[in-house]
Amino acid sequence: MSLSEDGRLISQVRLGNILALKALYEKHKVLVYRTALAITHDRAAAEDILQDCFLKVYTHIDRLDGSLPLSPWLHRVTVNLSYNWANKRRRWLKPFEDVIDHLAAGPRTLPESILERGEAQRVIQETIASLRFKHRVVIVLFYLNGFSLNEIAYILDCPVGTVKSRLHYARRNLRRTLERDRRLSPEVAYEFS
Amino acid sequence: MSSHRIQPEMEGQPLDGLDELIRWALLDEVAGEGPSPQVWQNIQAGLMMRSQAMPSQPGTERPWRQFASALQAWALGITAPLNVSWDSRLNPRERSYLIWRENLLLSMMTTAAVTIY
Repeated sequence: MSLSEDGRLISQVRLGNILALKALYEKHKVLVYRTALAITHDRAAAEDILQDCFLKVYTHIDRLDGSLPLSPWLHRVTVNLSYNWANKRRRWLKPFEDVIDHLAAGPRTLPESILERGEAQRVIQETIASLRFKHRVVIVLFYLNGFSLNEIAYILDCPVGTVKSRLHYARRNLRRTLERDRRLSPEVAYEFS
Repeated sequence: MSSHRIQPEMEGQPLDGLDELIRWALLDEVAGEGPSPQVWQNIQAGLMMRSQAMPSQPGTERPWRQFASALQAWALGITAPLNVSWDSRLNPRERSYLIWRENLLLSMMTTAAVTIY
């Protein structure tokens, strides 16, 4: 009965009980952290986002509805904080990282023999990471967290149709990129097409 | 919280091997990952900083603080007429006027204190 447990803990946090906040933190920290990590691919950023997320829980505790599950609200805050992080990073670091990546990246001439399942997994992870930010967020919320389209619409504060559209384009881009990727063996690539 | 589930259909199309591979890759990417204990310590430090900053902001005082402030105002108000009546430098007319004024202030502060509390 996680729902009522969250509601009871929220009521106690409202009374100033920090232990209740810690109980909420312990319950949700891994999911929030892993969501932030999957979106940002940065452990330090994921920890900062988790920290800010629970400070916001305390700040907005009077606005939280204890009768509703806390997880979608937490993920809404997590995604917003991840957007902020991405915007700052894009502004300050991305131009330098792009240059470094361009210099470091050679032609894709990996031998076909290493194209095993593990390689496919890495290729998929890289491909997800290369998606546009808003597409990656939807992919993470849908596949990693298992949120429904309606829940994702609430988290992103957008219509369900927009979520469907982003998911559709994200999957299409993933499929095309994976089909083109020369590191994948024909057997694995066949699974996508 | 939603468990790990994938809708059987999305936009009317059945899910295929790609969906399972995406889910598998994402789960593998974050498997075993978790925040360090330092995060909760940072949260606690942040809460302490906020709680120190909050009492100075209007409308964020704890009820007992509001009650204490009201009680202090009421105590000062109730003793003010006594101070005036003991002041030998005042003539009766001045004393009467000041006591009347202090009583008026006292009644106003008491009303305010009751309202706040």
